[in-house]
Amino acid sequence: MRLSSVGYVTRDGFRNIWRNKIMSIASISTVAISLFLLGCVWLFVANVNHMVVNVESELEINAYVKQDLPREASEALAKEIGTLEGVSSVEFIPKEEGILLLENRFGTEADLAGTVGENNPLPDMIQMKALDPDMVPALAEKVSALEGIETVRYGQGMVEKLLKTAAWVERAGLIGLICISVAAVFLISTSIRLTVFSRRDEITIMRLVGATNWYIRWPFLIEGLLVGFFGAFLAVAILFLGYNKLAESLMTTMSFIPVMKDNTMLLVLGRNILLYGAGLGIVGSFLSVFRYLRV
Amino acid sequence: MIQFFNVNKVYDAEVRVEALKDVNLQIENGEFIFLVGPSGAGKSTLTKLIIREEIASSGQVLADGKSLARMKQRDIPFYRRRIGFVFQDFRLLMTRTVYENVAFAAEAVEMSAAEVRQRVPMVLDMMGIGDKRNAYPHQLSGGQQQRLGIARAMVNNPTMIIADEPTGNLDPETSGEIMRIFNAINRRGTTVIIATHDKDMVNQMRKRVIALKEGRVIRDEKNGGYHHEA
Repeated sequence: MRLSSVGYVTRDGFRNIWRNKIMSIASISTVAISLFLLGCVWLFVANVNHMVVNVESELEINAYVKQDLPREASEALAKEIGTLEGVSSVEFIPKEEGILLLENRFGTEADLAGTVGENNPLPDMIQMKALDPDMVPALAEKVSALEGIETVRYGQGMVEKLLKTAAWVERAGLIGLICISVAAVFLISTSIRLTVFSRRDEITIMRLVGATNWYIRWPFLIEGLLVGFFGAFLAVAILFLGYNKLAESLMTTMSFIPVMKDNTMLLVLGRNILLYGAGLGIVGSFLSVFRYLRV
Repeated sequence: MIQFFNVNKVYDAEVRVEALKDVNLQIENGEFIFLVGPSGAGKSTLTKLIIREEIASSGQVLADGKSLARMKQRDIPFYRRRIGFVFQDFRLLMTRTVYENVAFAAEAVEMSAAEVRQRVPMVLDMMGIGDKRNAYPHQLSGGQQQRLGIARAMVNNPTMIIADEPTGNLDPETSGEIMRIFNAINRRGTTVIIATHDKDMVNQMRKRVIALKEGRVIRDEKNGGYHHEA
């Protein structure tokens, strides 16, 4: 196709949207809503994952050693734990140190160590960190099965709950996305079918003067592409503005929630949404062009 | 050159219609031909076979010796660029200006923007509507609208013009003007085929007349007239 023809068909694509304003607006809005939902789900899941990784204590497992175990045996146990798969670091905290940590947690005024003296009731503790929050439950189970370990404590299911929620949201989001994408494709293809109908005289003339099939089809495909793209653009704009506003207000009001403030992540998300929107548009227009456009 | 050899065309819709029966014809380059006959005689079908809108049910239609039925789908648009088509109802794009109506056809065959700018005013001047380039079709008289229709057919420099009842919607005086335009086009070497009911016109022009009746060619004569049987 000649360069000037590229200009003609692109101009006609824009003209199609303009002529068919109401349907175009409906299709653009549907694409925008569906992709906005997609973006929300994606941001939520990304934030949950980010939270899980960032809440460091969630990676931590504390194993309490049996009171009657000799010190050397406890230390050996700590070494053994260090060799387990999925452990990133391990630290042996003897009970003398443990009481000081406890003291710190209560504040400086208490003199716990002095009060209990030789009768320190705390057990020795082995504190380890997992490489990955997913591994925490399995690792805890493995450690608790070791000879000489009394009990094991970790995030008490918080990690699992968070991950489960994220997985559930992801799945629900995916199903929602599929349904709404189908609706968007259907609406785009209906919109283009209407344009094909309203331009039937032009199509007849083009065919008779000898326009190639692709020359006739291109404006409709471009129309679909643009509808998808505009919808996606709208979704991205709302997501960017909305997310930044939300992140700011969360940071000031609920600073304990570690919200992601990562521009590259947003840019990647924006790019993917734009591509997805354009893809929806092309699929929608292909369906109409090859069904209703007799060339 | 267009040749018809034993051409039959049957439309097999709900009712079976034999639109053309055993048609044999030869149309030389540069000829001026009137296709005459009552409605339903097969005039439109014959033009549709020439522009490869339809394919013969049996027999052969050849263009410059090549079978149109066997023409590849992707070659059809390029074949049609050699033919200009003029409609009875003009088929103008009402939301576009005179200039845009013609430019539209030129762009459709992927003429460069520079060529479009050069060709369009030229054919508009040739049809005598150069001063109307910014007007919309509804602002033109019937005769001017048909001139615009012819300008659109001519812009791609076709070797053949086919017109289906081009004066059907026009008064006799305007029809005469339109015929003079076709005559001028023909004198430049372009083949002209006109399907018409217009008895006076045909009798006045004394060109080759092909008369159809119930799908058959009942008369084919040079310098003919519109006889009563047709």
